[in-house]
Amino acid sequence: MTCDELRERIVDPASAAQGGHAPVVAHLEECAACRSAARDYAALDRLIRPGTPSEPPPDLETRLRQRLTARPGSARRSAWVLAGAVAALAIAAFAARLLRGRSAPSTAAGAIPAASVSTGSAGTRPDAREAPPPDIVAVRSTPISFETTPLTQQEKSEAAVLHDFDFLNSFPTLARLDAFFPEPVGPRAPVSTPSGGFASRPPDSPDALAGRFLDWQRAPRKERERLLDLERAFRNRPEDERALLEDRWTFVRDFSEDQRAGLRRLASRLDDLDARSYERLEAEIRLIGRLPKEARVARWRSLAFAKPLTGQELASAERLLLQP
Amino acid sequence: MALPRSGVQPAPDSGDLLLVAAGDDAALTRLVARWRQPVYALFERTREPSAAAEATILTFERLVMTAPRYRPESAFSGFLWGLVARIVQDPRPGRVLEIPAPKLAESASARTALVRSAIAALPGGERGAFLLTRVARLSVGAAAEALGVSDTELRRRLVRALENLRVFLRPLLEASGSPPAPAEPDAADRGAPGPGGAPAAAS
Repeated sequence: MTCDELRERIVDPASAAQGGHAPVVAHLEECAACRSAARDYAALDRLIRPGTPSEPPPDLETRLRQRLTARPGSARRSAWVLAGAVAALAIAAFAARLLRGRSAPSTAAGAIPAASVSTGSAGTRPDAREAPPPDIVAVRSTPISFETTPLTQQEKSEAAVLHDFDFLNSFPTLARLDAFFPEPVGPRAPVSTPSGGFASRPPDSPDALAGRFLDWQRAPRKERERLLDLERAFRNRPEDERALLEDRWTFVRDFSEDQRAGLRRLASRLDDLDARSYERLEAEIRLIGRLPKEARVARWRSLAFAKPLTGQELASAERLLLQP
Repeated sequence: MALPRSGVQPAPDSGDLLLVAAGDDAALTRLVARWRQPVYALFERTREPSAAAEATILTFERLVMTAPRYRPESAFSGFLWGLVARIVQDPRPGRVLEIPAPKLAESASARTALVRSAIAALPGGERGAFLLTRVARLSVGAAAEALGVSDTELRRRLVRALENLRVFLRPLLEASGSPPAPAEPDAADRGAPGPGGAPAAAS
C-alpha cells in the first residue's frame, strides 16, 4: 500500500473498512509521515468544529422572502402562492382518493396529507441520507406549472446570452467606484480572463441554462427589457473595461443587500466630488491598501471623505478596503 | 403510530419541495426551518457570518427556483447539497491570513478567522469536498454525487484539501499538540490516532 492509497483510505470510513485494517495498520507502523498525517487529519477535524453550533441570523427567512419577491416575476407571486395552496389541497385530496382505493390496512400512514407530511420534524437537523419519498409524492408525477406560456426559441436565445442578472444590476455601480479599486485594493485593467471565464458569464451548463429560462419565463416584459438594455450597455464597453468590471464583481457578489445599498450611496458620493478631491481620495485609498489590515480602518475613518458617511456607507467601504 | 406501507418513515423534505414547486409557502417555511442551520454552518466555516447568511439565502433562493426540476425519486438532501456545492466551490481561492502566534493564542476569533481563510484558500473542488464531508458530514458517496465526481476523485480531492490545510493551519496544529512529522517510527505512536482513531476513519 502506498502513502497515497493509505491516505485516501483513512479519509473515507467506508473505503477504510474494505480489505480489512491489517494493511492500514501495517503501513502506519512503518510510515512516520502517514502517522503524522493521520494525527493531523484528526486534529483538523477538531479544529473546524466550532465550540457552539453556528446559528444563522433570525431574519434569514424574511430576507429570503424579500429576495424572492424582488426577483423577476414577483408581481405574480401572490397569485402563485394562492394557486399553490389550492394545488396542495388538490394533491392531498387526490392522494387520499387513491389511497382509499387500496386494500392494505397499513396504508393509513401513507395517506398523510401532503401539507402535514413534514410537521413532525420541523426545527431538527435532518439525516444526511433520507428515506425514499412517501407515496404522496408519487401522486404528483405531472409537474404543476403556473407559468403556462413556454418560451419561444427567440426568447430562449435572448435569455441565454445574458450575463448573471445580479452582475448586470451591479456593474453600473461598480463602474462608478474606481476610487475604491486602485491597486492593491482591487483589480486594475488589464485583467486577464480566468480559464473558465468569470463567474458573471452567461449560463454555460444545462443546469444553469434551465434556471435562466425559468427566470426569464417569470420575468415581466419590462424587466426583460431592462435587463436586455443593461446587457447591451455592458457589451458596448471596451473589452478591457468589461473584464475589469467582471473581476470587480467577484469582490462584491457576496455583499448583503444592505452593503450593496451602501455601495450605491458611495458611488453617488463619489459622483459629487470634483476631480481634484477624487484624485486625492484615490491616492489615499491606494495608500490604505498597502497598510496592514488592522491599520486600514482607522486610516480610512480619518479621511475627510469618510467623516460624513452613514454607518451603511462606512460598512460597505470598509468591507471593500479589507479585501485580501 | 402506523408506518407507511413501505415500512420507512416518509421523507418530508421531498414532499415539501414538491409543494414548494407548486407554490406552497408553508412548505418553504418548513424546509428553511429544517435546513437553515446545517447549510449556514457549512458556509460559516469559510465565510464571515454576513456572507455566510447571504450564501444561505442564495441557496434557498436557488432551491425555490429549481424546485420544478426536482425529481422525487432522488434524495432531497443530494439535491440541496448539490446547490450548496455549486455556491461553495465558486469563489476563487483567497489568501490565508497571516496572524501572529500570540494573537492566535489569545483570541478565539483570530483562530476562527485563520481557519476560515484557510478553507477559503483551497481550490474550489477541494473546498467543496472538504466542507461537504467534514462539515456537512456527508458520506463520500453522497458528497461525490453532490459534486458530480466519482468517489475516487472525491477521496483524492479530500486528501489534497487536508494536506493543504495541514500547511495552512500548521500554527494551530502545533498549538493543539500535533507535532511535525517525526523522522523515525516511535513506539508511542502505536497508540496515536491512526485510521481507527481519526474521526474520519473506519470505526
